Amino acid sequence: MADMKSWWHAHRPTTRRMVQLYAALLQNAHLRGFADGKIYDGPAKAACVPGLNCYSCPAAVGACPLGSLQSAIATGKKGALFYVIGALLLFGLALGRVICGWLCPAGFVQELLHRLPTPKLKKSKATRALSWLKYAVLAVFVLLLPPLLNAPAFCKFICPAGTAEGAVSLLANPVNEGWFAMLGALFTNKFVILTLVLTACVFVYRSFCRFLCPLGALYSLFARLALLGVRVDAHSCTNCGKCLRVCPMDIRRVGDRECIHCGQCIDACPEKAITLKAGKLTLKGPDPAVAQRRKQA
Amino acid sequence: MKARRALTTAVTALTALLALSLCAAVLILYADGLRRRAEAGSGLIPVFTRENVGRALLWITPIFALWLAAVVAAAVTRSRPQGSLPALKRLPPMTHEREQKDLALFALRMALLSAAIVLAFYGIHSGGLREVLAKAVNICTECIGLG
Repeated sequence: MADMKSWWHAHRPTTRRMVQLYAALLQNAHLRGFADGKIYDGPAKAACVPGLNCYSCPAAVGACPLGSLQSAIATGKKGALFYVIGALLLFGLALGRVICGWLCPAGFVQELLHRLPTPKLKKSKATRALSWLKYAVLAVFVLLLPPLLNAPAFCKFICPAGTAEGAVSLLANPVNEGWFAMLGALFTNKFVILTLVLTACVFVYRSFCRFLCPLGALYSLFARLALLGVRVDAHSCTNCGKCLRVCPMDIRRVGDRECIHCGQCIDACPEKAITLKAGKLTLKGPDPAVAQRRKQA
Repeated sequence: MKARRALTTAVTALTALLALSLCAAVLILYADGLRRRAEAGSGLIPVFTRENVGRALLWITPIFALWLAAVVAAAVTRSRPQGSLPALKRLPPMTHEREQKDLALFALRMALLSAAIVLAFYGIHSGGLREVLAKAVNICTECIGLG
């Protein structure tokens, strides 16, 4: 009994994990779609969700902001373009990369895959350099190619969320058997990309987020502007660097462009100098029990 | 400890094997489909069919089952999820944000917020919601990789 209690104590889901689960379910609330093999077509689909979540997923109840942005750029529809840019600005200013750490379903899946017990690749100068790749993906596949190809290039050639949530889950339903006839080189390429990305996530923490995700790149531009995020109290900080060591992302300092505000550094800080804040309101401070456990370890 | 290490190695190997099998399966199916198409001399022959995908799944399923069993076994034997902190050879210099006091940042934030509200309202007024809805409720097969 005591063993079970200690196992549960070590493995129980954190508040962030529960928020991630609820956010993923909320953005994919139309679970009946998996059984029907059809996507939701209600009015809620007009609203952009903050995270990367393919709107062709049978369960999706909102529009993917990245897909909507590319589609608006490709078709040149001004109304949609202004609406999506406005929504992205609002998401970025209010939450920034808190979205990546707490609300994105793709991030949640990547974190679950990384929990598999395998050797892990630690962050290094190489991963830090690779983290710039997502800006190139944003510039080329989201901004430059859509108007040239008249198609959402990131969705079409790369997006693993679209392949997994859209293509694979729709093909898995016998109702859509006729769609097998249209599969070819595009599906083959995207399936290989999906497999490689999912495998990489097992060995490298949030590898898609860190190296490829253009939505993360977009939100990272709001690192200094976002209302919500982890903040360091400059008076209490002693520059010990424990926050950087405990962080699995490629950050140079807490709250920079790579920080997803997961809050792991909050409990690691020996000076209790880090908090998760919304403006001046403190949402999360150091957990005394975790801080005590870390001290003993 | 030895059992844990063996299971971790098994999970690693099986993860790699599963990924390789999936990639190989889709590539073999694609090549096979192209060959059948060339033999028939018709571009209308489907490259992928439910039957050949099903046959491929038959030999991937045992690998997946083994992988799943290894993952479950490793998860049960794993006692401590958190390792010690990795050593950091050289600490990068730390700087602190002063954003609460930074007037320029506050002004930029307000300007962007105003722009966001104006853009969103203008977009909605110009039929942006309808356009996004029209795109989101129709499956663009090519966009999700069905092609």
